Amino acid sequence: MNVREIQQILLNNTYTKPDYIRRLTLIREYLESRFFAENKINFSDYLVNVKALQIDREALSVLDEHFFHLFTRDNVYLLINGLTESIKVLPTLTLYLAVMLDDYQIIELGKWFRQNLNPDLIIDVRCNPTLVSGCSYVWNNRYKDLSLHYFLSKKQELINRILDAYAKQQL
Amino acid sequence: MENNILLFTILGLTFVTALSQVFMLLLNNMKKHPGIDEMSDDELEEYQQKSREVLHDASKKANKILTNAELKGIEYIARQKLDIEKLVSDFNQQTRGLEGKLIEQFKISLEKTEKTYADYINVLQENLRQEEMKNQRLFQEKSSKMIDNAQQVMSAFIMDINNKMKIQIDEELKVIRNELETYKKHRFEVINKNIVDILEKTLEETLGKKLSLTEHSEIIFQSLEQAKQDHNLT
Repeated sequence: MNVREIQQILLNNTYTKPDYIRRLTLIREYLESRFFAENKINFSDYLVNVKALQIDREALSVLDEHFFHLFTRDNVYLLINGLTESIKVLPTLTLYLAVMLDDYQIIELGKWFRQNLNPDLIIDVRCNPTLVSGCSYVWNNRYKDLSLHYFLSKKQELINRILDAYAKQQL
Repeated sequence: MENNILLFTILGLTFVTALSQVFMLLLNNMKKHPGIDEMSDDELEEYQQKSREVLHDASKKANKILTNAELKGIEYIARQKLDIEKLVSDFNQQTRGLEGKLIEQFKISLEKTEKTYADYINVLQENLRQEEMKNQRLFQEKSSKMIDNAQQVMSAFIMDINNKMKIQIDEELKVIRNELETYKKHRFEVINKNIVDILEKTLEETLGKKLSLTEHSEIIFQSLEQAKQDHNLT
């Protein structure tokens, strides 16, 4: 199995770059302890021991022994480095949110974007409070504004009419 | 003093007269008896004795006359002195009486003068008071007249100013109303242009902390779905 296939397994439940890197680090550390510290513990227990996040434990629970048998002492770092480098070539969507959502909501968003834009994309989440609500994103070097500003601008004429009616009524 | 001089002059003349009589007598004797050189020593001695007796009598009489004259003189002086004293006392008495009379007269005239002066002062005061009242009345009349005039002038002036100000204010108000309309219009235009930003900022302040994460998530999905429907995802 090559790097791309391993990456695909990882990306099944991973939608953001930080999650990907964090989970890859957990896998690397587990493999290091397994190969070089001769730790016989299984991956789930290992995650509990290192107090990994719940979301990471859920996402990485699909990785079975078959997955870890893909790694050997000789190829572990090769594969890990390959997996680290490959993230740079993944299609990236930079998502700007007004508030930082929780992990499950981010997962939902990730699923939506993969469903509607690109099944291979990975999301880089940033926080921009000036958006107030809604979101904006950069995809294929294009900025797309779906924030409050965008929707208010769409309704500007309506808002102006409301204001005029109000002004006439009051003045 | 003059009396003393007169007295001594009289005495002196009397003495000189006595002496001259004595000499006359002697001369007569000598004439009666012509030549001393032709007489004898006894006759000469007799004549000398007689002449000595005569001289002695003469001197005695002269002394007596002198004494009498002196006494008379002294008497005269004493009488004079008495007279003078009497005169002086009379004079003093007269003077005192006159002084008393004069003082009384002076008092009377002083009282009269005082009374006259007081009357004069009263009259003067009364005149002054009346003059003052007259002046006061005149002053009041004139000042009332002046105040009335001033009031009339002020009223006319104020009304004039009022009218002018009214006109000016109306004009200013008109200008201000126009400016306000223009400003309102301009303001509305600015607001209309920037309403989105205004609402955005307002909502940022009000909604930012009021929406829950779930609501935020819903809004995000709604906006994504809306964009998808509008074919506006890319």
